[in-house]
Amino acid sequence: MIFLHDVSKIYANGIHALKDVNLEIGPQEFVFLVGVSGAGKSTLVRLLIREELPSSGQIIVAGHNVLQLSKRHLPLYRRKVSMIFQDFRLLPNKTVAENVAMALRVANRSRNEIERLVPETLALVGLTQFADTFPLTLSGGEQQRVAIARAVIRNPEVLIADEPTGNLDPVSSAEIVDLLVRINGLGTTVIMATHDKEMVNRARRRVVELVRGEVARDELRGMYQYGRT
Amino acid sequence: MAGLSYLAAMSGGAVVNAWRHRTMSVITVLIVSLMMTTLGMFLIVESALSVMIATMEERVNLIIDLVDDAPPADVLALREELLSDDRIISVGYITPEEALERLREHFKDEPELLQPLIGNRNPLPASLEVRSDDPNYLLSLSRSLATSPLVKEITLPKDVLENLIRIVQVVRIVGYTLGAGLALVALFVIGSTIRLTVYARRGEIEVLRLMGASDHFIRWPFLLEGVFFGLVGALFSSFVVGVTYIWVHELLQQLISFLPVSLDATYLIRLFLILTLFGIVIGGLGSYLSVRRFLTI
Repeated sequence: MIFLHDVSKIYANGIHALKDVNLEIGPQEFVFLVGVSGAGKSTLVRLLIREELPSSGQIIVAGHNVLQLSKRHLPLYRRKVSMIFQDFRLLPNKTVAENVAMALRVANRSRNEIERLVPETLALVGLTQFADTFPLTLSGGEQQRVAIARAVIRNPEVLIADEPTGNLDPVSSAEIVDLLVRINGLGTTVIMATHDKEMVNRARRRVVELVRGEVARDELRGMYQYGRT
Repeated sequence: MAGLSYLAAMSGGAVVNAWRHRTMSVITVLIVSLMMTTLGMFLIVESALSVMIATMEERVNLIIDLVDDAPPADVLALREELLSDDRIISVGYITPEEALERLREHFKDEPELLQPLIGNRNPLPASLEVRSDDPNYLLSLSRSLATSPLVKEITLPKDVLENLIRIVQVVRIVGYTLGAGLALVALFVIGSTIRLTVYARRGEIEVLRLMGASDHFIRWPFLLEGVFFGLVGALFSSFVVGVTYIWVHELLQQLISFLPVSLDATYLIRLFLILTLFGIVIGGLGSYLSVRRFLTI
């Protein structure tokens, strides 16, 4: 599903963000990407969604050679690989339902499909009653659930979450991770970059730890910091 | 239907955007209106002058004075030759007696003025009066006929016409220059406003981009916003130009009733269509250039 071979990223200012990263993630896996700030998590995420290009190496995601995506194919790729963010990035002047529907509208899906899928997806994340409210009136945890609904409504092959619980209280965070685990159970590969030790230790999923741009640890049922928790 | 509702939703979005930064929108529409009103006024002046010229052109005569001993057969042949050209409307033969009669008619209030000139014999030559709707053709005709042995003198009242033609040329040049300059200003203003919208919505654009929105999905609302400015400007200026046209027409009819300045409804409709089309093109082009430059997707 995801395949990184000798991927390095050196930014224009000389910072060596990733060094020869090799990583293979199978279909329907759930992977925590952990590491201190500056370890290269965000860079890796940006490479996966093709916001940045690597300085060297190969990246294959869902059958696409990410380095060779044409301008025309990039939107199609991004419809298969969804993303959620620490700051939710919802459209404040659109309702919850409209925000979620936007993911289908950008893909030119039919009105029928939108009318069928939006309520279904809002039910999945438990926000049916908020369909017509505006995102800024919701709590952080609820807003992140809107973002997740928006990300999964297209049934993406890969869901990348960049610190999705970074702005949330522990209870909301647990709910978000539970939701991501459920989505993973429905068949989507999930990659979650996080500092959240409690979450990682509770979930007991595969953990990939980055230290100064290198893969320092890759365990199938890992803890946040092996031997130091 | 899906495409139509999509377009409707997009247009709605464009209007909402325009409303969000309404001060800029109002300024943009005003400048576009000003540009289009100037253009409309210029078109009206140009068309009025053209109508006047066309009318005067119909009245242009070339008068060929014939030599005294011109053989009638040759004169007839010349007349036939002139008539064979489509651009000639008519060729009249005026005998010396008729010419004298016209002169007397012209000076009927002061016949004593004519007396020393005429004396007892008629000094006026026979002449051919050539009418054409193409003054340029008359000009070249007068040049080519000057060498004919039948011709004594050629008179062409061309000064007035030439001046009028020159005025129209000046009006056209000034109008087109002014129009082009104002169109550039309108393009720039629309482009700047769209640029502000792009800037204000850059966060939203980024999110749409990451969701996999295509370039055209992101660009359309901005293009429509530009078209909206152009369209509103065009409607506004159409109104101003239309009212002015009717008002000036009434005024002209009172002042110079003999000139055919007719109120032409189809002309007004055509003018509105031209302005509207021009507004849409300027609006679309202005935002397209701005979006292409400032919206890196």
